[in-house]
Amino acid sequence: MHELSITSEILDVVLSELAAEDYNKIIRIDITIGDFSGIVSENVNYYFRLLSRDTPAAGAALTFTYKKSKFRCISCGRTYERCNFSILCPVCNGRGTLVESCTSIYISRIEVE
Amino acid sequence: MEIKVIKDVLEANNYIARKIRDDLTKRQVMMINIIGSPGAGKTSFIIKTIQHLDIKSVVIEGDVTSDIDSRKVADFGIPVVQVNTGGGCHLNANMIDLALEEISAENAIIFVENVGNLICPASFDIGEDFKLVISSIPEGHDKPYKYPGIFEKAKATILNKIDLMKYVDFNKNSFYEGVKTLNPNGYIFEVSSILGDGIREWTQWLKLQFMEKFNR
Repeated sequence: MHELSITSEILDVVLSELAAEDYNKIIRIDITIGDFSGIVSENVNYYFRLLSRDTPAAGAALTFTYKKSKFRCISCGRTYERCNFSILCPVCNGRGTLVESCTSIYISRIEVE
Repeated sequence: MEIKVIKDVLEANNYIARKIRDDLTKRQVMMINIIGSPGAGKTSFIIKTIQHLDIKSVVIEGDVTSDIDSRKVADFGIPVVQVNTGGGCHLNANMIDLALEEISAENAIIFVENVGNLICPASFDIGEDFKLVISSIPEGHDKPYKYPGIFEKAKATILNKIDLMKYVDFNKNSFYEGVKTLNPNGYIFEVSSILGDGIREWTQWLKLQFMEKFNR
């Protein structure tokens, strides 16, 4: 649900970068999303199309890379990622501890012309 | 032409949040961001907490449109500021910044009741000292597994409506395992906001956080 305000922030960031670089149009935006951020990329795409109308970012392609949080299993020692709604070890079903938490969303690259 | 930027999308929000945190610390104010599902019992929990706390308290009520919760808080004589998000699913830092213009309290705790939602509010720093997640027995023990983000970020978890345990198929071990997996150093308090069970332990812990923050 919070994709609307997130997308509005994305647009603000890329337009200010564009102004700083003295180019006219944004072609592509690469976005990295942490799996704990709760962001759905389809919604970001949808809102971006609406919000970017009549701006130099209209028509820009958005690409998304997901970063997954990592757990380490207390029982078998494996490092694993969350599968569906489970946060238990997918191999031995043991409990793990969170070793890398991916909660943020950031813009990694912008292509302009 | 390619521009390499590593820019946190929430940087503008985080900037305001940092400013809020600094301002509140100077005023010896601690702020708690309270997050839970609709119906988890956030408002009743806040009221019960303040009734047991001998620290000046103010409430910021975040809601989509109504003022039902803020009227409920005001009925107990507790100072409250209403923030309506106008359809938005979470509070962000600039909304809190505006609400704080109406709060002059010093040496106090501000309880912010966020919009009822376990996903969106977890992503936004509003300048709080810590996040608190409230989950209640009737919601089920699967909440940490379905909404890991907030259980990972919260300094403490409140398991509310503990008095309903006997009526509901709630697997407490599973709930605790989920929380501990995501947040091994987090605190868990079992409470009943209606009967008052567990409120003493929780408010003692909260008071300790307040004292430690201001070196008392």
